Amino acid sequence: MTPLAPDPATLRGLRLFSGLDAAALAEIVRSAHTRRIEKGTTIFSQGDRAGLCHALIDGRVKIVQTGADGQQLVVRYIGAGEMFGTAAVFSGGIYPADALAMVDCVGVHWTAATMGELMERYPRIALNALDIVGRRLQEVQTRLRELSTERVERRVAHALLRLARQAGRRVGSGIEIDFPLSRQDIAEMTGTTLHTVSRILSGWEGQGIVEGGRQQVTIRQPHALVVIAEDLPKPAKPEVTPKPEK
Amino acid sequence: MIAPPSPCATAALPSSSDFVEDVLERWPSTIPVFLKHRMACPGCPMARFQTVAEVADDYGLDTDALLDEFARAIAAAG
Repeated sequence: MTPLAPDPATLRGLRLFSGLDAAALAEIVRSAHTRRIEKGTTIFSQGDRAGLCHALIDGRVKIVQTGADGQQLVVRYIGAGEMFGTAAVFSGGIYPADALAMVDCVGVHWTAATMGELMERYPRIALNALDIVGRRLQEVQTRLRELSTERVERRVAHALLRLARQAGRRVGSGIEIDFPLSRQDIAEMTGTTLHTVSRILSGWEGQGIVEGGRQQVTIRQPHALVVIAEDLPKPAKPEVTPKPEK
Repeated sequence: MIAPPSPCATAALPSSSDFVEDVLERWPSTIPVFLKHRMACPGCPMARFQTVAEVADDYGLDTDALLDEFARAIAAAG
């Protein structure tokens, strides 16, 4: 196999090295190891000591974490120009997941020691690393918020379905829950806050799923609420389909 | 918009304006048809408010084809 020299132009595209001058980039290129990675190769394994900082020049890599119960979770996909396995190196730890080449790839890596030296010489790299790690942390926090919101949404949807079952009345515009029901009541039923219930119901009102007065809830799209409550696959048809008159 | 009261207490077969819960109760042999189409109707709290035509629409199915399947399942069950 012919040894590959990383193209400085490609490295300039890496966020880790943005803002560095040509001389610095040339040094970074000299200290890098580039290699072809065959499809299916495990680049590093969960639990390995994190000794190398990786970047992908070409191809696609999957970062997969295996839980204690053996269940696998794809943490993220890495494309050309992205770093991977670096956070573990900076914290001097172990890789928290496997990195698998999904296609034939070209990768480049630096040893932890080399990367440390580069960072001391060019603090800009350390600042860039902080930026990358910070952005990923934000992504994770967004995902976490979505996950916890999803759970509350399902609880609220279930509560409305239960109430409709007990006290629903079919009216022209849907199913009316036929007793005074405040948002505070729903919050107490679902173990969440008034603010959260208001936000969820406003969202559903915007989508036309429910319609609410001050003490009144009408379910306009019963099936849409069941989809949320049961986490069913979203209907394939568009949201609003005018029904043909028969 | 409002479906007329379900006539299925005396009808021989389900119709498009029957409420789904009534269909499920009167003709339990239709349950596998719902399950086959991955419909969440059996046990759903909304089944008593929604007609066969409405749930067919919700799941993107043809109402008449669904009614045919019900009829076949009922006939097969005797």
